[in-house]
Amino acid sequence: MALKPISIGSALLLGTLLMGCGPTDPVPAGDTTPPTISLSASPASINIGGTTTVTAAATDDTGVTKVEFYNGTTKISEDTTAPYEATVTLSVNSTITAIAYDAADNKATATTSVTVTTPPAPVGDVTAPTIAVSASLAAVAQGATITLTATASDNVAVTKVEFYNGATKISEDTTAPYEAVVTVGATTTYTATAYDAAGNKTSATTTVNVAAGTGSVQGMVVDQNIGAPVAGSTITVMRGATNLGTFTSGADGSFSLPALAAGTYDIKARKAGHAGSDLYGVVVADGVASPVTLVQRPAFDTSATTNPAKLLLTRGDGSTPLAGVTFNASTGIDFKIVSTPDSDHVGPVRIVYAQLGRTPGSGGITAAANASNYNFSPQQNMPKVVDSGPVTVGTAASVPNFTAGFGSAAGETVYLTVMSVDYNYNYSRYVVPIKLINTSATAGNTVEAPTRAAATAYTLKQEGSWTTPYTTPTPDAAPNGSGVFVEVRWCYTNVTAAAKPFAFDVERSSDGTTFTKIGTVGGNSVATCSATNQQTRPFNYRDTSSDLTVGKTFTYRVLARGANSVASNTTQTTPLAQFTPTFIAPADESTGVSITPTFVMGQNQTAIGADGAGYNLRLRDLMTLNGSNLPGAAANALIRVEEGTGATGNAIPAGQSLVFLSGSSVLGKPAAGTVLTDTSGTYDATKPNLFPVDTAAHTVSIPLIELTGAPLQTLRPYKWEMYSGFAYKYAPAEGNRISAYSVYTWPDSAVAPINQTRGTNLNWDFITGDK
Amino acid sequence: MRKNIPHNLRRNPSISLGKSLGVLALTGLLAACSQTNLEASVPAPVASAPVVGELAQNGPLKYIKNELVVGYTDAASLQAAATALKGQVVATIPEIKVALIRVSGDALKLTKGAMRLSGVRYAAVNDVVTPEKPISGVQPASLTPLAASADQIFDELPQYALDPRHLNAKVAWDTGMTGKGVLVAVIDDPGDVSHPDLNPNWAGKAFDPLQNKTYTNATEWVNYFKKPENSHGTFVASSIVAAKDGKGIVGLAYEAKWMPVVMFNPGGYSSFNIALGAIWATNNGARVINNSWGGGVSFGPVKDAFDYAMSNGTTVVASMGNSYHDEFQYPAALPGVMASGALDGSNRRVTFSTSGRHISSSAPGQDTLLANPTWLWGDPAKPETHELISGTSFSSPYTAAVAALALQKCPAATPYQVRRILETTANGAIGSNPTGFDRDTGWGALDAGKLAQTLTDCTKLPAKGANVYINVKYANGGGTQPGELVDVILRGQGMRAGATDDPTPLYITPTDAAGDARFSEIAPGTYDLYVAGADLSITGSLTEDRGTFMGTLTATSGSTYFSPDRKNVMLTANAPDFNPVDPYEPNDTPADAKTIAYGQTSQTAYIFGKPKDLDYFKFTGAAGDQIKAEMLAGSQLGGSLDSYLYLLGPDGVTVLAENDDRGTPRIDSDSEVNFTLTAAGTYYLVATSFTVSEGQEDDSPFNKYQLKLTKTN
Repeated sequence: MALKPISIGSALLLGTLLMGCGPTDPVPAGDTTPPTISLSASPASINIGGTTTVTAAATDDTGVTKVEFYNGTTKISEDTTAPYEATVTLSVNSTITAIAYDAADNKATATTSVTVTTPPAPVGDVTAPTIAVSASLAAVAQGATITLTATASDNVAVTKVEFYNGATKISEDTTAPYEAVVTVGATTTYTATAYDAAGNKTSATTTVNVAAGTGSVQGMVVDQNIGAPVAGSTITVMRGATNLGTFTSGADGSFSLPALAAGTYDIKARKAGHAGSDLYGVVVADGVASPVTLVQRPAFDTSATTNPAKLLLTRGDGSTPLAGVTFNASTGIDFKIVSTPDSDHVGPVRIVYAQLGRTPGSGGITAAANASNYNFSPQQNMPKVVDSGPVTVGTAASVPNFTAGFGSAAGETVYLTVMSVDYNYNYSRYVVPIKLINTSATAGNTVEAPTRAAATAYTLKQEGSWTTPYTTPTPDAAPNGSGVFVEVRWCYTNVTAAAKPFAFDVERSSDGTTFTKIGTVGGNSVATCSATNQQTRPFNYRDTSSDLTVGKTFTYRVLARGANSVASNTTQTTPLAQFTPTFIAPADESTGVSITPTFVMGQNQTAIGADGAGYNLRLRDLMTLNGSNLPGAAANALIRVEEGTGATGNAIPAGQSLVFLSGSSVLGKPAAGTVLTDTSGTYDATKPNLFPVDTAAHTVSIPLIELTGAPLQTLRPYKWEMYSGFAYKYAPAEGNRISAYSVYTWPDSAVAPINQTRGTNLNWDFITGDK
Repeated sequence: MRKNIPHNLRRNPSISLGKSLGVLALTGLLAACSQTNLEASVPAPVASAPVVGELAQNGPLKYIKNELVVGYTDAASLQAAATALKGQVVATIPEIKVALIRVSGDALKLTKGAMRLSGVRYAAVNDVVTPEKPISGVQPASLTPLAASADQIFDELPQYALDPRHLNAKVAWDTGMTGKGVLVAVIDDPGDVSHPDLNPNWAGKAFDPLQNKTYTNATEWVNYFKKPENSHGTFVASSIVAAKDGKGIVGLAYEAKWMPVVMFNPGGYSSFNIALGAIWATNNGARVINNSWGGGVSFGPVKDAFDYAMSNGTTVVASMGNSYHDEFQYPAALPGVMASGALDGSNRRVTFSTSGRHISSSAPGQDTLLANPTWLWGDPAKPETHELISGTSFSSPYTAAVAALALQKCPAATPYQVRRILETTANGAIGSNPTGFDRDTGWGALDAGKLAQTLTDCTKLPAKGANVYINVKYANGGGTQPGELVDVILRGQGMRAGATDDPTPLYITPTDAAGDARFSEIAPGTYDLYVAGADLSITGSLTEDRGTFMGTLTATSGSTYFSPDRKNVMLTANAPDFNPVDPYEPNDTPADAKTIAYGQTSQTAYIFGKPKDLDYFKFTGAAGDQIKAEMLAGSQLGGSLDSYLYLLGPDGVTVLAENDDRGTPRIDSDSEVNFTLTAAGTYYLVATSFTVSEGQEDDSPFNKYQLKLTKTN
């Protein structure tokens, strides 16, 4: 940092101010003299698999800072203090390179050759090596990764072990332990062959079985519900006690178990730095691809264990196993959740959830009308122990909506999901099949179509919260589908008893034609239904599937179900990519700012496919912390900025712009008298341009005096803050409602139209000039 | 120090929208936003119970209605001021010459008048702040073995925060650094001095500023304060001084002693009482004061009290805040205060921890295991003696504890030296800058072990800080006057604007009525000095009336409160006029009404000089005259007046028309009356303030207006 030495002239004081600059010593200006270096190896000739030490003699006029050693292009090590040495094990003739550096980054290079010889075989060595080979798992799921390990010995020396799959060489290993990593397709017999110097060889085989089936699992690992993908997570697949191999999640967080025999599987995900996630009871059926999502949050304490809590799920009596039990919705579902004595989780467990028909989670993301989860926080003074005691849910007295919409007169197989989150954020999730009889009278009703179904996608900035640790993602991480959920809202206004539905089934399609059910909630009816405010329609469901990808259009419909099933209108939404507005001027912490400043913001709304953005700015006087929200106090008092996206978007011609003020939670077109900029004259024929928009640079300029009418004070500190900021997309085909939001910052989930809080925002200070 | 009073005496703030905008449908959309309220960012809002003394509210400002906080120069002038205000002195803090006067009216109305009294340095309302409240990570909670490692157990319950990967306590303790001999004060809600984990290290004294009472009996204290809302202060204290006795948890400075000082019970105490608490703590030997709270601006009594504490060698620590934002919160951003940010178990900044260049360092503040007060233990068979809790409220006391360790070793260390030795031994590899300072985590994660290994003797202490004293005067044709209502900014030279890895400081403070501004225990160096006054948001003057000064100031290491680096600044500007002359007075009755004619705009007049000033004007009109009478007030002229205008008939009594907020374009602080006269005669216009029209007093030297009369047909 550019510090001015202070007048006292004390080096100690200067040092104090330099504290933040990092540990490197200052460098004399203009050193261009490189070091000198020479390199030798000792010994210069070794047997195959032996080691040698290379030593570099390096000097420099200002001092050598380090010497790096390379074998070919592979770095071996570096040494920062003389003598500069490295040790390397070789099996072929090699050239070792050393590079010496000085503080000015001048460098010099030297090389030396090392000869690797195969020891001469005793004359007439005809004794072949011995070898045995085994696989880390004898039976795996197709596509799993296993390790082949060979042990080999020879009367002279084993020179290498080669691994083959039939006639195809997989790899070879020249140093013990001899290993190869393979991905297993079908049942395979692997061959390992050991050689000695005389060319004698011996082979051994091992077979890895794959019981392939026609079912499959399509998996996704994310770092929080609607979170970013977790790449490189090790996925272990088990059936009962049998380990069926490991897989690895890809860069997009996905993994695939492509050919599984029908049955029930358990899946575990582990990755350094993340909490562990275990899923028990994934049902695989022939010919069916089962989607699975695992959540691996950043671990609270990366040095603590990543084993989630192990739970035992029984009926309320504490002994009868829960799986396969038939319950009647009129008497509810009883269960008892306890941790097993050998559970090795990080206590205390924070919360345990149970829900039918979906993975439960915090209400903010999973809440729905007519559907509820059960949850409790375990007794804390025995943190290794989770014990819910006997619990009955789905009755009038206890979580009445637990079974709403599920079950049938004959009994329907439904899945109960129980999930625990421990202190380290390790998740364990159990999926238990039960049979549910539900003789609700509404199951026999003749129902009609739900109305005014509207699907809205929300893309939310990824960040941590009070209960979610979060690591800043790498800048180029494109979290496709992360931070996205879709809320579907609808009405059902026929309040007669005979028309009341038993359930609503929510369906989704990605091609507009083929629909799949994604969720069920209990049925009900409410007379009121707003034509204009989709947020107030009484029924809703939140789709948090990790399949929701940005830029792809999803079609939803809602079916009312009684004795018959009738679909609502279809409704479409296309999730937007992340909206990232920026502040441009006045620059952060600048001085000399005009007392009638113009605030300039940058925006990427057009790039993400949005039709507009809404902002609420807060200007504060830092001497008093008083100030105003512009244009109004509520987060949804907005400065709306729309760059033209044409007839299929915001009805402003491309290249033109519109800026206006709005104050309703329903984002509509400008009301009379609110237009500040309208370069195309669409709403205001006088084509005002008070808040100019540069549609090429994607900036908007806001002269403060137009909003407040008064100049700021001279030489006074102020702060401007983006109090709320989001982008939105109109759906002209659906009455111009908003079909997607992308939220950068939103202060209060209770303020419509954004139902999630995203607390971090932009805060810039400045000091005005003296005129 | 001057306390800046938000002059929101108008109901809605002024907006003049510029004629080009036409009519904008913005009624009700614009509102002043408040001083920082940390409560808003915390998911579990706190309901404040009323404090003793009725609370009043003016916009976002909450204050005790009948209490005026006054800075005085000597006892005689204090008495004279109380008499003039028809009030009674109920409390004083002689160390900082601040007094609390109980008055019979609304204190907000009296502040301007009070400032005019001789011997009064400043006058302000006794405002009430809202506490920052922690969030429990787990509910409910009292727990035994937590997590993996044996190195997290020190007494009985595991504490990750003290292990070698976090605060690294054992290395410090093994060198004998335990805080022995150091007194720490916690200004918070009343901590439970009877808790078995806390009682052994209670210093035997606890203070309630509201009652001005020092307690020495634990049972008496607990019986008075044991409300379910009071728990925060117990958690905070336990991280510092929980006893090392094989039970419960252990505090980082487990041989230090602690004194609780109340500022919430559970509603927040006023600035005056917080200041009184800090003074008491200093006078009773506290070497460290912990402040896990925030809100408001802290200028005035609280800053004065912290300056007093620092001048006596007491280190002041505060939490950064839980706002998620990069911003100044107070008292964390006060000059000299050591501000602490919160980390999670993996030494990442917790997302909600407020950031900014004023941050000092960070410590664990998420899911830390701390003591729960005995009055919340619940079922005696399974008492919840300890609980997991999160917030920068808990990183701050860990910081205070490390400061106590340093002070045990080096009792003569100044607050700045204590701060710097903690910062220079912190782990700077965390946060957004892996090689040092960043605005998220400051100089890094505190490391008590590294502190112990570095501070082997007191010659290893870093250089002392600087103390600056600036005196400002207005210089003009009337001579020189004290520079009150002036802003003083110190901006470190070489600051890299907007850089997240730049620790160069920025300090701001207003002057008090004597024109003085102090900066205690700040980084030595060269600063750009910006001085400007008066504060136009109070006086309502024009931009050109504000005087400005730009210069430099050198803060030298070793300067003290008593021998500060001093600068005198003259601003060529008029001092705020606390005693303007209304050219039309006396005009308080129809008989004394002053004449105004069509087409005329009056000179600037004032609703001032008496508690409920009514200014009468008269004009002559003919039948059928369409008249428009406007009061140009706070919005169009600046100043503090939210006007109210009456049109009276020839009898001087009958109200023909009246207006509070003019309509088109809407300006809430100004007024306009339109009327068609039905008969010829003399009519009266009565100019006053909205507050007076509601029957309240409104007497301010900044209540200026002009009256404009037009015939529109």
